[in-house]
Amino acid sequence: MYQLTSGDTIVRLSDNAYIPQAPGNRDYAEYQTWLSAGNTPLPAPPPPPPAPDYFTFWESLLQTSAYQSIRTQSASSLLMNTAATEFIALIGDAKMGRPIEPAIQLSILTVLSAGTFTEAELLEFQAALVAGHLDSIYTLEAPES
Amino acid sequence: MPIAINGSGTLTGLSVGGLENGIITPAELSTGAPSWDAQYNLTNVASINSGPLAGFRNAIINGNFDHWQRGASFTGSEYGADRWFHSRSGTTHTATRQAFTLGQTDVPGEPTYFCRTVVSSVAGAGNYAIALQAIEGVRAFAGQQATISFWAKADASKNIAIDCQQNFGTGGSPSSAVNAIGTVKKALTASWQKITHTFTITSVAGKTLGTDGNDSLALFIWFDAGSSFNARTDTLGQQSGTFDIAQVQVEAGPVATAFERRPIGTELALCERYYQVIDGRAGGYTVPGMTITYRIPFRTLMRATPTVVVTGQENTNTTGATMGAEGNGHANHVALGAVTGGFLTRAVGLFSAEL
Repeated sequence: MYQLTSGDTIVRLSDNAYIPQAPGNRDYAEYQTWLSAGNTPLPAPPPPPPAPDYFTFWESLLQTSAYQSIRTQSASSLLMNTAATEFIALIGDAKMGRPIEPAIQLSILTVLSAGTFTEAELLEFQAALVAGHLDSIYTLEAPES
Repeated sequence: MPIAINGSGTLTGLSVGGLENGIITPAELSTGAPSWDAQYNLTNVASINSGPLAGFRNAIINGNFDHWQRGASFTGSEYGADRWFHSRSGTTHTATRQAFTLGQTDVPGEPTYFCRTVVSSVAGAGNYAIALQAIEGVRAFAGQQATISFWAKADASKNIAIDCQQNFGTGGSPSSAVNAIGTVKKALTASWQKITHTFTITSVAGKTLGTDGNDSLALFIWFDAGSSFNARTDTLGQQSGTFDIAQVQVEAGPVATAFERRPIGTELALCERYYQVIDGRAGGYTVPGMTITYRIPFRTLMRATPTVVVTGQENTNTTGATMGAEGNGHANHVALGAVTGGFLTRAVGLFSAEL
């Protein structure tokens, strides 16, 4: 049995061999014979979900009015200032490849609860999560207790 | 009585008188071995001072079973010793590497290994167990006399069969394969003996090659053969047993010369045209999402773009270490950075471009 891939090779499932579509390759010739016998390979597996991209998230967030609101409120609110500082540090670690997901989730909720944000600003924050493929990991709403 | 020089510069066997005018040709001058044929080719030379003759006579690669890059025991229809394909259908077999005892004299030349095939025959017209090697290029010995020789024994008195098959490759409209070339059955005993067989390989005149460049001449050594293969095996029939072979050689001409021992590195290079193991490792500094890739030249160009099985993956601060082939000249090791910092990635590629 064989399976197609998203690339230009075919996988022979019995030994996970990657067979090139190359004339003269013995295994490719056997695959062609197998096809000629009326067999059909398995379709290519779906591509893996995009990896979390904290750089893109951060670049997107910096351009939003939501981020400017965080900065503004940090100047007058020690609670927001503390929450924002921790959030920035955690995202910094994540950009270096060491995301501490529970702490980041808690930090997001802490920032949002420490200040006031318009509906548009919350939508911008959510759009930044989507841009960084983080929307399946983090939420802007606290779970109902 | 032949005319000879007796070592003291004296001709013996010479009878003067009654000779006709003319010349004595080399072929007439010597009727024993060695001799010259009508084209003045020296024939019947088994060795030079008991040593090897000039090199690269043997068209079989790894005929001495020195190289086993894939392992040392095989049970499927699969490549085992380098370049040797152990094929079976119905019948089961186990092909293994076996070591000769140091200093043994049964098989000359102190070979290191031989190949043992233990066959458990299962009745069936289409069942068989074979060891075969495909020699690249169907032009090999075409229309010429060739001699196969090897050492063999069995667990008891048994027969084996030999035949050759010309494959004209794939792609386009190649001619159909021609088999049962030089079919012969040979008797084995429980002691090592040298098997030799001289036959003429079928001409390829009028044949059409495939366009994929994978035509070949294949040597088949049959251990077990159902009745469907009677024509190819001189009715070998079905049998279980243990079959040992060593020092396999196929060469041009009518004489089985001494087994050609090539330098072990040279023999490995010949094998690596068809199979290579590339162990790729890299280290350095990475960041998340960074693609780490580098090319590794194959030690020798492979016959075709190879199939690859990836094993031995290691990822330190990387993910997805893998390896692929770029044509027949390079392996390509790829990994993805996962964490900012130092990384180490490893992948082992088993590359096969067999016929």
